[in-house]
Amino acid sequence: MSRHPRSIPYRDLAELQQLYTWFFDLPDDRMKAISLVKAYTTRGHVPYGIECTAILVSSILLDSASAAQENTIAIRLAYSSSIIRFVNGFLDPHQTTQFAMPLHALALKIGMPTMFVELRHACTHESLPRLDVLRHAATQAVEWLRCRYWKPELERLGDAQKCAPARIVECIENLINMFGTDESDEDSDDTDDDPTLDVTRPDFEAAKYKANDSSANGRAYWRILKLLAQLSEQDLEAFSTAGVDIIFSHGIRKDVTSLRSLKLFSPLLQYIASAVTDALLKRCLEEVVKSYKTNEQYYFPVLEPSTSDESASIIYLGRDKSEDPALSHSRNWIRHILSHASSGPATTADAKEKNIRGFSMSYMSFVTLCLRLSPPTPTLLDFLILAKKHLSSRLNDPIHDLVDTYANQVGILYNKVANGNLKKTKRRGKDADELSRTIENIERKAEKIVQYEKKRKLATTSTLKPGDKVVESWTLLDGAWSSRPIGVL
Amino acid sequence: MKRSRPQASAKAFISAFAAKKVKKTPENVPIDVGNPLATATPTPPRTQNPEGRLVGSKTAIATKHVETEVVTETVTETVIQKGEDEYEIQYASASDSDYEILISDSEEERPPNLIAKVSDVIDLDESVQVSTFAPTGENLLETDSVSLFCFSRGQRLVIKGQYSVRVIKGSISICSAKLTESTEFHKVFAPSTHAIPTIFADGQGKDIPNDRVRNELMEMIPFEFTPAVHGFLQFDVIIVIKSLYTGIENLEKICQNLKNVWTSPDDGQNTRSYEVLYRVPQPPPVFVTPEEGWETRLRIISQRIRDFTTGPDVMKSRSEEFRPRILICGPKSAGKSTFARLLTNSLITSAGLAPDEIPNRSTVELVYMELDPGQPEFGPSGVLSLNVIDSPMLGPSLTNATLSNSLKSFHFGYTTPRDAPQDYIRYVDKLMSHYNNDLHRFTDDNARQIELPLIVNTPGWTKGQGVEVLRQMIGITKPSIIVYIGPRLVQPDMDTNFELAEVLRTTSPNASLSELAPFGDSGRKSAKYPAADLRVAQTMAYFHSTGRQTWDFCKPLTAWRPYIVRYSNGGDADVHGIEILGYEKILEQHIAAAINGTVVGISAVSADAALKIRSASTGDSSLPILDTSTIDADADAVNCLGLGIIRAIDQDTKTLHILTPISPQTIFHAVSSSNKIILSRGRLPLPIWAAWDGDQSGVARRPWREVPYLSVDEIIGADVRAAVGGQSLRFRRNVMRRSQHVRT
Repeated sequence: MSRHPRSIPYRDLAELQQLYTWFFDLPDDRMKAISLVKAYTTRGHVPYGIECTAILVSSILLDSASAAQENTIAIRLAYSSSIIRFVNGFLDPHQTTQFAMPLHALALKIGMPTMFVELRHACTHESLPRLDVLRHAATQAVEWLRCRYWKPELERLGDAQKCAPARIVECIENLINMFGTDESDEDSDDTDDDPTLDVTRPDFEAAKYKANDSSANGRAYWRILKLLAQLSEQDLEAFSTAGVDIIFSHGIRKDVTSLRSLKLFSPLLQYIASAVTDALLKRCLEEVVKSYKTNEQYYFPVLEPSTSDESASIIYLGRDKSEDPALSHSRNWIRHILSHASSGPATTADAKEKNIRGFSMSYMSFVTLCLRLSPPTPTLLDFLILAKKHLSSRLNDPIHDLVDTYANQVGILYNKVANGNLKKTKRRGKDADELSRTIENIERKAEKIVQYEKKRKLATTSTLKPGDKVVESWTLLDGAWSSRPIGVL
Repeated sequence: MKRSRPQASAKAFISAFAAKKVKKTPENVPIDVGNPLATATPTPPRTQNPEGRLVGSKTAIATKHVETEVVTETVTETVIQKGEDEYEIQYASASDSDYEILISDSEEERPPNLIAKVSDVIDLDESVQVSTFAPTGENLLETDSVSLFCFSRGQRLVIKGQYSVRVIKGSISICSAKLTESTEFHKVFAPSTHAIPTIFADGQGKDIPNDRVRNELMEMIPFEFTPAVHGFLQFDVIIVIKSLYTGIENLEKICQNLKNVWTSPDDGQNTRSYEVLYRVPQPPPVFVTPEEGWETRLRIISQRIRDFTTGPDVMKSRSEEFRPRILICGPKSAGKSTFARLLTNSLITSAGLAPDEIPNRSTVELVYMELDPGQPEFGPSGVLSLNVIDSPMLGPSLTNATLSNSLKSFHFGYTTPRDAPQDYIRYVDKLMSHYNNDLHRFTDDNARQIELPLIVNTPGWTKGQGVEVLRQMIGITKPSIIVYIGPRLVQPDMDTNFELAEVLRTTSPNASLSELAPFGDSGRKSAKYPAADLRVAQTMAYFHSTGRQTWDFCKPLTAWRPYIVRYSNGGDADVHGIEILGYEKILEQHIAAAINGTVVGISAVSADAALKIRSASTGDSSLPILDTSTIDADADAVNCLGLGIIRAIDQDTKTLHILTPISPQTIFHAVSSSNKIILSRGRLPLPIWAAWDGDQSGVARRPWREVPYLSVDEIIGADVRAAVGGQSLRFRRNVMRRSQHVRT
């Protein structure tokens, strides 16, 4: 999956489109286009399509000048060498075998009319063809380039740059359509309703398609997965919003059970960067918080901080059948992810190799997620305890204590159902105070350094005496500077 | 020893390495056993099994097969090894010491047996021994800060990485540079991208009294090991190796395809910047050990040069029209640069004569003219330069990438002379005239001028027009010695070299022509990295330089602050003009598209010459493009300061943002001597690592669609040559027709 980017002579797609317009839509601007292509050639390698178009068009323009009437040999030579370069340029890269393959065969392979190959042969080895033959061929060649190179290229690059979320959604839809409607999941549906059962049954563990599955389905599955992984690498943000939306909403559809949705997307999430899993978790947690706010009826969990080895599922005492499907789906997701998470920093590459089924998720990040959503609801604390059970390895982690205290606080407070948030915010306030104090310290230090630098600079420049000629030399950029790509101001 | 089972012979090898002949009594040992610390070598804290391991060595040979019987109370311990041969190691340990002492027997019994046994196991062991230096308790001292090696005459040692070496007693030669006793530390760079230099212990040096050596040693090593000094004094050659951190060890952060070039990855505890190689897995990397033919030739040539410059009959040799100029030519990758380096080193270090012992000279210097724009030994690629060398060259070309040695350089702008042969010859001419006019030294009595020896390195273009170019170069430089390195000039079947042979023999009839076989001709040559990768590494080493042989690879170039350079046509422009080589009329509005994000050469032009080079552009707001090129100016009016990258063009404030490693002092010095700065754009490619930091999702945390001039999408019809190495589809010159094949 590691690819090197290629250097291209044009700045971006817009410039290429401008070039197209100059070449084909506005015949008067063809000289501008040629000048730009000349500028490109000084940069490095120019794609053949662009270069050949420029060469052919410049021969055509040479032809239309008034002096063309007399200097026909030069014009014919110009045309013929542009045809030769055009044919060679497109066919040479395909000449990969040890012995030369006939050019006609190569032309068939890429879809170039063999008329050009024949003409090239004539130009090289036989007598120079007539001017009108060459003229006609050149215009045909430009037209061929337009249809077979420019248009598809612009379209392809345009697609690539298209709104990334659309592509992601499209891709996930594909996945759903191809693999979502699998009959073998039907039998497990009715057991989904029993809340006391652990959703995470052992047979869920087995991946539907192993990594090296060579059946047609398996290959297609993994191809889509790899494509999604690439898309996520390229535009993580878009994936985390649009992609996660569609993954989540798939489980709430009428015809799809939550379990099936989990089964479908769980390998995908394990394969992709963990930021997506985080985003999904965040979404689910938000969902839970939302429901808590709107739903008065809530089964209060049995919460005892000391018994940290409770099984996860018993925390939920019953579930109303009329409960919001979104809420239950979220809960399922959270439980599933937490119980399958491995807190080791396994990279996706490692996981692929050893076929480890696990979400890379750290306790800290989950706790941070939970605490960010305010107010921390009892449900969240359940999840925290669940996370503690599955994720963390050291029992005397300070966060543990924090979570426990929180749990205590909230439990007690919610028993009273009054002034619930008071002590919490106090504790939070205390932490927040410390935090802000350290930030202030750092700022003060930075300020001191900046002033010191200023003084130093002044000290060196002030050693100039009045008679000195101030020579202005190159200076480094002043002011704020951040890392940015070459070419960007 | 006949071939035997691998395991047994491995054991035999290990035993040969570790053990010595049986010694019954400790009295024969020339070390005072009563003072057990006399030959103490420290057990490094990382040794897991002190008894079984060789003390103090980093060899990969773990003496796991050796079983020990440790009797702590007695002085003598024996080590019995299971295997075909039985050897014993004698220990002498004091009960109150933390150290273990490994006593070896006297020297004359050691080397021949060792090598004889070792050579028998090379094939079976699947690894090759490359150092004949065998670490024992007595000849090696390794601490965290220094390593002390004691050689006997004729041993050799290979160290990979970067280090500083100082000779305390005797003399060694690295890359044909003879280093003798001195207080000076020489920096050596030995990455695995190029041939790794071998340290040869020659042994011939000035006689230094033992007391002085002892004092030096006492100063160098930590206090607790000073009793061991007595043991070191018996050896002929003693050197000290120190770690060196110049910043180039982080090269792999930027050039991500050159991993583990400086040190190996698995030494997590390794605090040193170098690694001693005793054995390497097959196929072995290439080492700089001059072969037979080269050795002789080097000696003859350097003798002749030395005679010319320092001998008593200087007048006589001058009358014979002998000029100390050597031209090295041959096809690419034959070893021209290596030969040039070896020759330079052997001339600089002048057979061990101290500078004050060489008559008629104050310093040992020579001039190196670098005419290979593709892979130059000095400077970045694309620049032709004249360099003065006064210290041995102990590192590959990428450690000499800055123009700090250069007296005069020109920005040629192409990586091969094939792209502009006529301009190339003009630059060669200019450099030569600078040498002729400005680079002479006077004898002590100011009587005569003596020419500094000149070594000319040529590009590897020996076919077609290259032969003609070579002929012109020979005519301009008029060398007295021509060295050709490559396949034999006249072969029965191949007549492609006929032109070359003719040119070399007849152009300069007074010159002596030597033909040498290419380097590494014995078939062991394995170029681990393609030449394109090395060129890219050299350019990156240039741009990340922070001084002479120091680098900063911690940040990618996209994070470096650029210089702000004003270009307006008014009076206070920081840059006088921009030229584009091979300039065809490009519309003004497209000039920015041509130079934005490219590598340009930065040259200083004298004010008079700058007046003659006019700007072609109209209007104040446009980039000042020159229409007459700098090549037409006089040779002494132009000097190239280095290369830069135009990072961005700000049309509003009329400034260019330029990244360059040229020090501000150099630019200031150029500008204050009323010179004008000119940028010239040739065709030097921008390496991918300058524009991309290896992040898959974009550059500098921006997604790909916001990054100009780079694309991750597949582009039809683009050259699929990957930016760095990899599978490439080149323009092929070797496609055959079937009819051709049948003939042979």
